[in-house]
Amino acid sequence: MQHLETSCISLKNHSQASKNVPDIISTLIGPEWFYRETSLIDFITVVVVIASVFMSGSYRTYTTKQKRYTFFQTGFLLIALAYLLKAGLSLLMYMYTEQTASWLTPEILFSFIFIHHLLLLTGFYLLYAIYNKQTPRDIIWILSLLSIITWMSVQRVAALHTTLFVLLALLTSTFIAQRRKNAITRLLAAGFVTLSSSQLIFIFKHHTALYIIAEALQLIGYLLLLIALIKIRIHGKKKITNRHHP
Amino acid sequence: MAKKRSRTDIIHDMLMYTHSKPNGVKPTHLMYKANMSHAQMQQYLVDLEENGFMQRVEEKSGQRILITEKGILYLQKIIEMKTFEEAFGL
Repeated sequence: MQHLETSCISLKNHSQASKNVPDIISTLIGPEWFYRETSLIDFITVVVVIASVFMSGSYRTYTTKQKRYTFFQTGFLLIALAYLLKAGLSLLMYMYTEQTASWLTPEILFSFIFIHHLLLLTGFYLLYAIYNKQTPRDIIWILSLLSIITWMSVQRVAALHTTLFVLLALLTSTFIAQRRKNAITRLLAAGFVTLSSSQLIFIFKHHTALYIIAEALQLIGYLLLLIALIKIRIHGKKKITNRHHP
Repeated sequence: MAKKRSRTDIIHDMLMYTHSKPNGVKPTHLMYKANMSHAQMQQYLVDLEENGFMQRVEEKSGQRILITEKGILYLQKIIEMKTFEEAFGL
C-alpha cells in the first residue's frame, strides 16, 4: 500500500492533471491488492485473442472471404495489444519500485491509458464492421467519433465502457440471431453475452466489488471463446473420424 | 435461389464424398454426387491430383478415385474453416 501512496505522490508532483492520477490507476487496473490477478486475467485474455488471430490466419488460405478475415484478424490483434498494454501496466504497478517512479510520469501513464482505450475501441469497432457493412465515409466518421470518446474516456472511464458495452451488445445480437444454431454458436453467443455484461458492470467499477465481478466475467467470457475455438478444432477431426466409422 | 458454390465448397464436396468410400469412387459417381459437369470435374481432379489430395487407380472394372492422407488433412482444414465461419458468422 505504501508504494502506491509513494507513487501517487510522485506522480502528483509531476503534472497539473495529477489530481486524477491515483483515481485513474485504480479505475484502470483495480485495487492495489488485485494488481496481480488483473494482470493474470489480462494475460489469459491476450492468449485467447491471439489464438483467435492465429486460427483465423490458418483458415485464410482456404477462404474467399478475404476482406472479412482482414477485419477479424486486425480487430482481434488490436484487442490483444490493448490487453497486453493493460496487463503490462498492472504487472508494473504490482512490482513497483523507486526506479519505476522515476520514469512513470503522469504523461506516460496517460499515454498508456489513451492507447489502451483507442486500441480497444478500434478493435471492437472492426469486429462490428464485419457484420454491418461500412462505407469509407462511415469508417472515417466513426473512427473520428471513437477518437473523441477516447479523449473523454481518459478522464471519465465510464465513456469507454459504455461505448464498448454498446458495440459488444450489437455483436452479441448478431451471434444470437445466427441462422444455424449448434453447440459452438451457442457457446460464442454466451461468451459475448458475458463480455457485454462485464462492460456494463465496468461502468461502475469504482466500487471494488463490482470491479472484481466485472474482471471475473471478462475472464469467463474469454474462456468461453477459447472453449468454442477448441471445439471448432475438434469438430474437424471428429467429422473425419465419423466418416470412416459411420 | 441457391447460392453459387465457391471453389472451396466444390473441393469440399468432392473430398467428402471420396472420403466416405474407403474403396474409392467411380468418376461418374463422383460427378453426380458432387453435382458437377464432366469437364468441370476433370479440371478439379487434375488440380487435386497435382496437389496430392487424390489419386486415380486403374482396376479391371475401370478407374477409381481415392483420397490420400494429404487430402484427408486438407478436408479436415476445410471442415474446420467452415465451422469457424459458421460460428463467427463470417
